[in-house]
Amino acid sequence: MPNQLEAAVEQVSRVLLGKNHAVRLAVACMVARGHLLIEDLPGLGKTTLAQALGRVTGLDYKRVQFTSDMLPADLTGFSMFDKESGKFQFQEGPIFCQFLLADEINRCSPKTQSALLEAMEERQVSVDGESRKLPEPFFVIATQNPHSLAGTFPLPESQLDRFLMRISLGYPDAAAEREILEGRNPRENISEIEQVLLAEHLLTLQEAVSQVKASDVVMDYLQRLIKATRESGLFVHGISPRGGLALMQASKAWAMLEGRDYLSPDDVQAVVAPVFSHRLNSRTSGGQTSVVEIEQWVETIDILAS
Amino acid sequence: MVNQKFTSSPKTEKLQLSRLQQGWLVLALSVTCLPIWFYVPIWVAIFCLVPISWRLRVLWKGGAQLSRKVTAGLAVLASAFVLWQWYPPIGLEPMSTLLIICCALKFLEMRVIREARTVLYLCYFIAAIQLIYEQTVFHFLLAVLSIILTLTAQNMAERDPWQQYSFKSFSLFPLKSVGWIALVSIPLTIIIFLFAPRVPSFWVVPVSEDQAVSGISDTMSPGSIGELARSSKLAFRVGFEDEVPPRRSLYWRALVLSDYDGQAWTNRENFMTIQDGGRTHFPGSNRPAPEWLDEILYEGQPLEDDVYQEPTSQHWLFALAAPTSQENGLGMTKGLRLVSRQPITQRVKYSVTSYPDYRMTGDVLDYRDRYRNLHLPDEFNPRTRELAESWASQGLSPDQLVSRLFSLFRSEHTYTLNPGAFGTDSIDEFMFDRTRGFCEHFAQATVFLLRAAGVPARIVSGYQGGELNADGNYLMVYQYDAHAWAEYWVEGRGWVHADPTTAVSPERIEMGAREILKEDPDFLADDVFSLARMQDINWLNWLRLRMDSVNYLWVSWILGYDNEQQFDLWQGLFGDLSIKRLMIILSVLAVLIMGAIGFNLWWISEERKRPRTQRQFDQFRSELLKAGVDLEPGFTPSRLAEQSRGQNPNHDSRIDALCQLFEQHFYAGVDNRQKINALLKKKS
Repeated sequence: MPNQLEAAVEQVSRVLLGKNHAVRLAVACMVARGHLLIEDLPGLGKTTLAQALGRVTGLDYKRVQFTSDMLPADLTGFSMFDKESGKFQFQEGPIFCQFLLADEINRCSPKTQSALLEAMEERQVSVDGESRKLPEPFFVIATQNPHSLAGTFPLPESQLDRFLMRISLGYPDAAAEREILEGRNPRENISEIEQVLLAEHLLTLQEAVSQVKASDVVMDYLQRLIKATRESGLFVHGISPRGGLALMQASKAWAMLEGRDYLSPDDVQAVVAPVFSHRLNSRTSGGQTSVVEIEQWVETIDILAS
Repeated sequence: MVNQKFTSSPKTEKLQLSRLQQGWLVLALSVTCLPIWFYVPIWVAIFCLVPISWRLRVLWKGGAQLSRKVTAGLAVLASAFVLWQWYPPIGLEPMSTLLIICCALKFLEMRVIREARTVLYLCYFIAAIQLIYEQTVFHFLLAVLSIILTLTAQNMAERDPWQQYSFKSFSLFPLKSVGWIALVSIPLTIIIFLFAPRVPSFWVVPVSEDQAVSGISDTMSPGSIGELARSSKLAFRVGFEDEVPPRRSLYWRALVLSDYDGQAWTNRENFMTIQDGGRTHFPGSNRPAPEWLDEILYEGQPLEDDVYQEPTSQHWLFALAAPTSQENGLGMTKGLRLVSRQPITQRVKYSVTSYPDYRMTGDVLDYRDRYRNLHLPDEFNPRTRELAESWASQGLSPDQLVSRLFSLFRSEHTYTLNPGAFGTDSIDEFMFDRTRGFCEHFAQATVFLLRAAGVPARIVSGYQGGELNADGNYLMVYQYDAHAWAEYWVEGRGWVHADPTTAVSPERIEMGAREILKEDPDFLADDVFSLARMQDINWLNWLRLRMDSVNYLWVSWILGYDNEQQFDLWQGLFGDLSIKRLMIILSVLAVLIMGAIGFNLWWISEERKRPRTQRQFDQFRSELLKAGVDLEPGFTPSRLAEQSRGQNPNHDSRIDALCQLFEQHFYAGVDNRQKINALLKKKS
């Protein structure tokens, strides 16, 4: 199984040059049954990553560009009167898919945002008083541009919590940049990507995540990390139990990606920054913590003893 | 997006004290300062109450902090007050007052933990200071309570400053944990108390004179002993080895007053080395024993007692006739008294062996003594003088003179605490006009009459009787037990005891001063609420006696624990003490104590509870650290290997293997302890 994941990562990395770590995180997020928030400037490959992932997994992929005049029904669907049958017929919105790319999520109104986020959490939508299950697996990648904030509705902290991870891709390194400049347009290559996974495979993998063994030592370490967020005084609030669960889930997914059947602190450390950074507010800067801040803080927490 | 509450300056925010923490501080400070208010002027109490109530107001209602200008102004004001009260400001009172005021003002301006710490440390100091004033068991318990409360306040104040403690989150838990700490420290305290050398204090706290001088003085004039009956303060306690002698034989001698100027009786001998007309005998000094010692025959059954004397700032001690003592610095005088080389500024304990059946050879009264004890100024009391001369002319012996005088007293005089003020011919006035008086009036009339009749006589002052506390087989002697009596010289018998009070009011001697005087309005007038006034209320009296016996135990076992008792204890435990043996015992004790502390530290350490492999991993990490590898506590085994590969010149496959083994052991549940042990041994 892990070989398939490795293959998936390799395939995506072919189009998203030099971003192996981000790709791995995205895959881990998907395997951990979480949703991914990508925060970046335009043109850094957010959409490419989503498209490539969709293709490599063979999931039913849809993309929604969020705008300020968008209504919840545009996302979830609506009932239409069918003259022929004389009945209302439900028209499924774009959310009825296995893999949704929600582009620029902070452009739409809070009402629409919360419709999406509710669907992400519940894995179902309620329209006309009837709840409808979303297909399985269901994976959302949302993107937002953190810098041009005019006319946007930033996601509140409680909504951010719904995303398992938040990553940013950043600029490519010199070699990757060169390759891009030499004319190999990644989007054109997407068609070359091979599908290495089936939706059913993904479901099995998601099941297998919980089989990853976590020893007492590593559980202690996880708890120490969580406790430290609450007591170290570096953060405004500590991590919630849901946040702690997210860390464990993501770590296990990463362990699986690494081809191990047990959880090691390496896995925890690999995912802790993307899992925690949008859930913690730094006391010194007042804003959300940066990845670097968290990585430095994690180094101060002993892996064995308090 | 960000909670606005936390965007204020993080520095001050970080250290702000919560209301619950402040509340604990208020409690600790109030209890700690409570006892010391009895020893400083009233304005200090007011000065302290203001900050505490201000702080309470802020706690309850909220409100602005006082500006620093106000506190600075208050500090200047307080210093001025101190200078006004005591100039120069030297001594215990001004210093403790300054300390309390500092503490109160610091408390007033306190907002952050650093300032709270100052207040807390001052609290510890104040709790100790009150023990300089009083050392009763109750004061000690109060000090313990203060320290426990202060510890709790500190425990609270040093807690996580991020947590907002409100009154809702109040719990006694910190008190519990501090109580536990205190409990654990008790054995060590006992060991230190029992075995640490008793070092005498390096300095003496100057006690202001008006406060310390209490009890009888070396000048007796009519009414001066009556003054003491107004006070129920304790003068001293006496513990007896055997049965307590009957009350009528308990004459505690303090002073012998031979010099009379017509108004007052004094002892003009200023030096402790010459007292009562002879050289004072200090046992243990290398001077030969004075000659007068041969004239006293210490005979009969000796009486052993331990006196626990309250401070008087004077040199004289209290003992039954004829006292002997082997204590260092204590001297026996020719007048059968004990004196101390140093004034008694703290509570002292001394052992006395008295010989109640002593005899004096009484061969000669040397001419200086004779002159001194016969001298009367010419101009005063002509009528008494006339009476004495008429009696003397009848050829009466000294004993007959005394018995005749006593029968006169018995028939015509009354014993009263407050006979009123007397004029210059006070003895005439007492003898013939008023015929009422207190013990000093009778005593001085007796001595005057005897001297006028040509018999050498002198006044002895001290205390008579005492209240028996059956709980501890000891006597409590109060100021109102002060007494004066007479002694006259008989050829061949020496100085003979004569107490005129036995003639006029035998109840005073048989039942004690309190029984006789309790109806008198002046009795204990200075201690209106004294428990001694309420001895007729049974349960109160019971309580008073119990409280005093607890204090007696405290004084005799804790405060009175001195080098001598320590030595006795050591001897009891270890037999005879040679220097070599002492050194061995001390080293063994030191090793045992250190061992116990070390064992305890190890026993409670987290380290002990961790599995061996975890400790091995720690060792492994420190080994890498020594090899020059930069490590962080959060580095995983694989990261350690990577780091070592980059930075450790001695990196080898062993380190890689160990890292892998550790990872498998901790996280994959592989039992590879033997391999780890083997690889770790390989290095060493």
